[in-house]
Amino acid sequence: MEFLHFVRRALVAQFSGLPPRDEFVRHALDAGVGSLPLLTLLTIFAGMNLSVQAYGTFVRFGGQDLLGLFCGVGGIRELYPVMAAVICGARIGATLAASLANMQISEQVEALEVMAVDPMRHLVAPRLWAVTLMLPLLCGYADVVGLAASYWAAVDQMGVNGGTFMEQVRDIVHLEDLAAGVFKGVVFGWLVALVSCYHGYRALKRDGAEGVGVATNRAIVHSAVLCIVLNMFLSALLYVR
Amino acid sequence: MAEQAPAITLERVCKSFGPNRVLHEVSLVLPAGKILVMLGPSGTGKSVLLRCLVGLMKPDSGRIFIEGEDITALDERRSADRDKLFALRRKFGMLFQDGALFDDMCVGDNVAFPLRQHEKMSETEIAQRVKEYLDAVGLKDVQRKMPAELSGGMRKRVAFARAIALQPRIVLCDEPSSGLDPVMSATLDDLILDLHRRYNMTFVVISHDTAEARTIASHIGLLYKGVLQTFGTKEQVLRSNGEAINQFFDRSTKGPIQVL
Amino acid sequence: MLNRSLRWFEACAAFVEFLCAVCRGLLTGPRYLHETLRVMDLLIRRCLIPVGLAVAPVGAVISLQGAGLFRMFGAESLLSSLLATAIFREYSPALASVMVAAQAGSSIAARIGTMKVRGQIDALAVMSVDPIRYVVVPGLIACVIVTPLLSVLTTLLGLLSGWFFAVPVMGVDHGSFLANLYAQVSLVDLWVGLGKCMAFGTAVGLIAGFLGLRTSGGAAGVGKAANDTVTMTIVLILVADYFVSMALLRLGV
Repeated sequence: MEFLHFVRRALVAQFSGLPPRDEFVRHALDAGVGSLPLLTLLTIFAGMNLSVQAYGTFVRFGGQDLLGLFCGVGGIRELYPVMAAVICGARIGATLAASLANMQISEQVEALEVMAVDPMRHLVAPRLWAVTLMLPLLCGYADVVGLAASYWAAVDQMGVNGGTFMEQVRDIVHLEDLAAGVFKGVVFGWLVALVSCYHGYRALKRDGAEGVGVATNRAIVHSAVLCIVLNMFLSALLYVR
Repeated sequence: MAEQAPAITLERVCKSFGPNRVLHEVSLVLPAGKILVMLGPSGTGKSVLLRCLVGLMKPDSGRIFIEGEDITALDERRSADRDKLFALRRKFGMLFQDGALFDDMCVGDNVAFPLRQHEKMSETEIAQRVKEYLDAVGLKDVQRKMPAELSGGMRKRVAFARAIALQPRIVLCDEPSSGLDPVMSATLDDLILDLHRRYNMTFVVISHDTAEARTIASHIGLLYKGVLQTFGTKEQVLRSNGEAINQFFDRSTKGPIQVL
Repeated sequence: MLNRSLRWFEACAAFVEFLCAVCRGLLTGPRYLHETLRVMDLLIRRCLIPVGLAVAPVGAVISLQGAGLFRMFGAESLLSSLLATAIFREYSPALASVMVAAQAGSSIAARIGTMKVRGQIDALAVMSVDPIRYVVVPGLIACVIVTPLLSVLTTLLGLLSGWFFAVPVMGVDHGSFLANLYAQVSLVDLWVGLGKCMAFGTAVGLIAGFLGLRTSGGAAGVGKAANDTVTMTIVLILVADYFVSMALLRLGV
């Protein structure tokens, strides 16, 4: 209930004009560029894992030549958008929640209000915009890096034929799948930012340092769970015919 | 007419949190250009009173007038009222307990922040004003520093500069002397008097420091268990010989104020 | 640059020192069994729902996408075998650990960080209670035990949601789904999964304790400790998972 009230206020703030530019740029850079090293590292290993594990599983059925299909579908449709979202929740979301909670408990949010600046517009709106716009880009980036990593693992480590692998990927992954991945990115980005800002904003002064920890923890867990569950529904919506 | 309206008028303000009665029928009238020191033991609703004044909290009943305008009638959730509330808040500057400086901005940007938000000024004008206010609080060469690099007293002085940046009519100070050594709190008292003389603002200072009350107050109030025990000019209050006020000034454990 | 690498070395040295202290705390008393049980109870209660919610959709998604793929080759009956192997061996351990890192890791780090910032850790030391034994070791033991337990539960949940999406939603035959479910999994897969969970749980407990105790800089530092714990453990889990899978594949397990 309280969350819905927050969502309403956040939406009003988000869409009532452009967010403060400097704040937006700062958060967009932090969310986008700042996440690159971590995301790169994680998608490389996730992509390789996908190949290795799928190979280990498929070998039992004698289906190792279908690796390209599996990596294409599993990776681009499902794994990389969710990965990007979970990483985003763990890194960006947690940072948002921690910084807002810290501002709450040290009375900086109240200071804004006293200075007649709407904290929703000044603090929440630029963060929402930044993450919503950055996450789809990160998703697209993860697609490329992850696919390259699973190609490398499949071809170099497992000895799968490279041509077949790519052909299968091209066969099974269409433009719509990429678009669906990016669409998921937009939804996840907005959700992560909203949930994280909510938990950060809700911290109370009397909670002190503990409040920051609680907000961070909740932001990470809630955004990860929400994204994974929502991914299931989005996939069911997009791919069940 | 607006010139003559008292800066702050409270009419039977009540506020509770659940069963906790924090403010009970608090009424007072503070003329413009005065310095009110609100004394009281910790946890007696002084900070809540301050937050009600700026509309950060809404009293359960009773009304609060700021220069004749009723701030309690404004509902933050309605956008028209919200604009009015924000317009009203521009009459205020507030010094928070630990300064509440924005961690991610340097000192100069912190002081410039309200100017950039509300005044249409060029950057050079802003820089000039920032320098003026930092000079007024006695700080030099700190503009580029981050709040984390400053000592507690310096943070409070920067927060002071930020609070007065828009030349507010009323400045609220939440425990300016808490956590400071006696010399630094005396310096802050001098600063309040100096700013009061220079800009003729109304001050409401929350404190439990009686020495501070003696030095700077023109009016003194004593809040205990949510009830305003005493209120009046400094001379009236000091002459009144009320039990509670005497206990407070004598630092005695015997009297109506009981530690829970 | 030099400064940064120095700090990096300092952190590594501190971690080694921390590891030694933890080992000492594990091997010698005093042990705080009651505290350990309390943390375990707390972790199970806090993690159960997030972990369950995170793993269940994975089974659903595997069924959903897998059914489409297998249908192209007329091999729908193999779907349940794929589901079981993937969940038993790979996704359930990895995801359960990631969620334990997110939930338990960040809350342990935040709790220790808060104690540190408020001076309670120093207070413990002054009362000659070893903070490592009292706050780090119980958290570590709890993580190591709780992660495999949760993984067992999530495996079941994953299979159930996989079944739901395969049979009623995608129209795979119920009989062949059940018949093939255990065709390709053996007890070894179960042990591999549980082993991974214990290893990942150890990582969560150690990193959370280490970063929690290193917290500095007030409330903001607490948030940073919680955040760093999660990102570091997720990286570690994914990297370790790759090498474990690779090694097992080479060994032909």
